[in-house]
Amino acid sequence: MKIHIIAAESGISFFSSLLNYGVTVKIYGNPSVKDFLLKDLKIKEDYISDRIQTLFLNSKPIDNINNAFLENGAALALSAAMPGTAGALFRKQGRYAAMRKQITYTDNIDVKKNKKGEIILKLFNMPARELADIIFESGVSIEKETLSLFLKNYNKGLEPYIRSIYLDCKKKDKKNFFNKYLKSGFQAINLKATFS
Amino acid sequence: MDKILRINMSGEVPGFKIEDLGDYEGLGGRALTSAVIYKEVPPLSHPLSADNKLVIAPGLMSGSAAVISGRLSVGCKSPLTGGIKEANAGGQPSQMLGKLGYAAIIIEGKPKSNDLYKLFINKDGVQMTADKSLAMLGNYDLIDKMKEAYGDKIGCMSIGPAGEMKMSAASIACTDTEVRPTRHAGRGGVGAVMGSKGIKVIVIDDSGTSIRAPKDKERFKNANKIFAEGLKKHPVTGEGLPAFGTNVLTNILNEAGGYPTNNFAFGQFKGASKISGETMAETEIARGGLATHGCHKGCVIKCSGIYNDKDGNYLTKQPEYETVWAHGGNCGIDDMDVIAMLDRIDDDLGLDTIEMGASIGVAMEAGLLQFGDANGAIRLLKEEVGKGTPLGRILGNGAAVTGKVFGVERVPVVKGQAMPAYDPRAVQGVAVTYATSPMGADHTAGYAVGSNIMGVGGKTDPLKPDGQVELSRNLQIATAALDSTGLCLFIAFAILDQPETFNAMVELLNGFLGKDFTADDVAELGKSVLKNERDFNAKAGFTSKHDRLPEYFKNEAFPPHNVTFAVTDEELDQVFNW
Repeated sequence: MKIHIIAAESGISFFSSLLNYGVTVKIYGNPSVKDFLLKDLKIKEDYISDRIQTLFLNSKPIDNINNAFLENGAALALSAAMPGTAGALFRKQGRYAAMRKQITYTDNIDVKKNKKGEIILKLFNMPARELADIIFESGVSIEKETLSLFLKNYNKGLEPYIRSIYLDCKKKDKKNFFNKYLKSGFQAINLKATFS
Repeated sequence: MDKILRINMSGEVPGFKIEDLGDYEGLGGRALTSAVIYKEVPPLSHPLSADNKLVIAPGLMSGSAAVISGRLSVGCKSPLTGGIKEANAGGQPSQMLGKLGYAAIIIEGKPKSNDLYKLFINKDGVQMTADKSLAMLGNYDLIDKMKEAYGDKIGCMSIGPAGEMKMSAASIACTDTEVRPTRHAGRGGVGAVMGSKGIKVIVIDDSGTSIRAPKDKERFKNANKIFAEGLKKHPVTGEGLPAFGTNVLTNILNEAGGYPTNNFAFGQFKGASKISGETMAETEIARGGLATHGCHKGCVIKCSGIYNDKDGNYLTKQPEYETVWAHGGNCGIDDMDVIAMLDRIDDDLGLDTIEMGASIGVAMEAGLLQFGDANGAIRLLKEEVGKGTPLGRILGNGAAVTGKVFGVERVPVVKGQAMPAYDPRAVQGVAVTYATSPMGADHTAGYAVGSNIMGVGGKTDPLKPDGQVELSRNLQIATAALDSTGLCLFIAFAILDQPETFNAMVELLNGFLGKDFTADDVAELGKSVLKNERDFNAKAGFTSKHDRLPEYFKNEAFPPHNVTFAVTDEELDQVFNW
C-alpha cells in the first residue's frame, strides 16, 4: 500500500525526524555512496562535498565516498560536521581520523553483487532537515515498528501540517489517520510526501 | 584581574586577605588552578583535609568583552581520583569575578566548628557569614534564598547536600543567565572539597564594576568582531550546536557503534532516537522551552536550552549529551522526561551527572535495578543519594566505589573517575586521552581544538594509521592552553577549519593582554600546565600503571564492531614524552 501526503513546507522539520529513525530506499546495482547520493537521491555535488561531513556505512565511518559501495541490506547514515572530539574524528578525511582507525570503513570491492536491492537510509541533524523534501518526494518505505516509534513522539505535532492524505490514490480523512492505519496488519508502508 | 582573594577557614574565626598575583602573574583558568595546587598543596595530603585548597579561577579573558570567554576553572586535589583536578564550568560567575578583578579565590584550611558559611563578594569587599539555616538545602532553594537576600543580579557558586555530605561525585553549581544553578564544575568531587571547607555558597555581585579593558583596544575590537563572525558562520558553532545542543551527538555515536549502552556492554542503544538532540530540540520547542540558549553572557554559540515538563513548566536546562547518555543509554533508559528529571535532581543535589549515571549503571549491573528501570533510577538518586542513606553514600562516591562495594568487574573508570559517553573500543584515540590524562577519564582533556593550527606537534597525517598517541598528546597540550584562556572549548571546529578565525582568536588574546604570543608560546603554556599536573600526581603516588584502562576493555569485544582496545601499554607511556 502506498501513502502520499501533501504537507505544508513549514512541517518539514517534523517529517525530517522520521529520517533519524531510518527509512528504506531502493538501490540499483552496487553504486558507490557518491553515485547513490548524486545520481539516485539527486543531491547536489557541492552539498555532498561541503555539507555532508560525516557518513557511516554499516556503522563504519567513511573517508572516501567514491570507494564505499552499497549492497542489499546495507545501512547508510549522513550527518553534517559535528562538535567535540568525537565529531572531529568521525568526519570524512578529518585530521583526527586515525583516532577511530579500528572501525573505519576500508575500501571494499567485495560487496555482494546485486541488480537491485534496498538499504536503510538515516539522515541526522542539518541534512535531515535540508534533504527531507527530496528524500520523501522520491518515496521511501517505512517499517511498522519505526512508524509506531515516530508517531508516539510526533503524531500531535504532525497533523496540523498535513493538508491531505491519499491511500493507494484514494483521498482519506487525515484526522487520526496514522493511528487507525497502525492497527491494520501491514509490515511496512511506502510513503511519499510533497511539501508546498 | 590583578588580585587573589585568599580565604583561610582555619582558626577561631575564618578570615581572608587580598593579595597580589606574585608568582601567578599572567596565569588564568586551568593554568592558574594547577599552578597553585602544584605549588601549595602537599601531594600526599587528604583531599578533605585542611591541607587541600580549593582554587577558583576565571579564564584570562573572563570579564572582558571577548565573546564566549566566560569559562571558569575550579582546582583542588580530587577526593575522587586522589590526583590533581581541574573542573570547568560555564555560567555567570567567571565573568563577574573577572570584572571584580579577582584572578582567583583560594580557599584553604578547615573550620573548627560545623558552621556553614556564605561568602558575599562585591566591589566593596568580602563578607563571610555563618548561616546554619542553609544546611542541606538543595541548590535551587538555596539560590532562591540568595536572590531574596541579595537581589536577582547576582551570580552564585554553591554546593548542594552532596557537597555537604562530602560525596566524591559532588559538584559546584554556577548560576546561569537566569540565576539558576544549572552549570556545574562537575568532575572529580570539587563540591566535596568546598563542603570540607564549610562553605555553602559564594554570592557574587559585580554591580558598579566595568568590563575589563583590553591593553590594545583597536586590536582587540577588530579581532573580537572577526572571531564572533567566524563562530557564527561555521556549520558546527553557527548551526548544529545552536539548533540541537551537544546532544546532537547521540545519533552519531550510536550510529558509529561507540555509544556505551547498559554499562558499556553494547555499542548501540535501540532507544537512541527517542533521546537524541533532534528529538529533544523538537520537544523543547513544542513545550514552550528553548532549544537555543547561552549559558553565560557573551556566548555567541548558544548550545544550551530550556527543557520544560509536559505541562510547559520549567524543569531543567537542556541536558548535555554526556548527561543524556549517562542517565539514558548507559542505564538503558529511553525516556527524555526521566533523563531531564535526573538532570534536575543532580543539579539540585549538586552532583556530577556523568559520575552518577555511571554509578547507577554499575549498580544496575550489580543487580540493584534492571537496566531501563527509570523509576528505580529516580528513586536511587532522590531517596538514597539525596537523603544520604548508606546506599546513597556508596553511589554518591562514584562508580569505582560502587563497583568495589557490589563486586562488579565491569567498572568504566580511569584513576577512579567514570568514563564519559564515548566507548574506548570504538574511538581508541579518545581512550588514549582517557587513560593518560592527569584528570582521570575525561572527554574534554584532549579536545579537538586544532592542535595542528596551533602548531602543537607539527603537521601530522590525518589518515596515518598509528597516530593516536601523537594526536592525543597534541590535543591534550592544546586543550590545556585553551582551558586557561576562559574561551569555551566549543570554538574548536571554527578555529580548526577557518584559519582566519584561529588567527582572530590569537589576536584577541594578544590584543587583550598586550602581548605577542606565538603558536610556540601556546604549546609551551599547555605543556607547562600538564607538567605541573603530572608532577603533582607523581608525588601523590601515581605511576604509569595508573595510565591504563580497566583490563576488560582489552579482553571484551564490543558489538557491533567486535573490537577490543588495542593501544599497547608501551604506546600509552609515550604520550607525555615530548
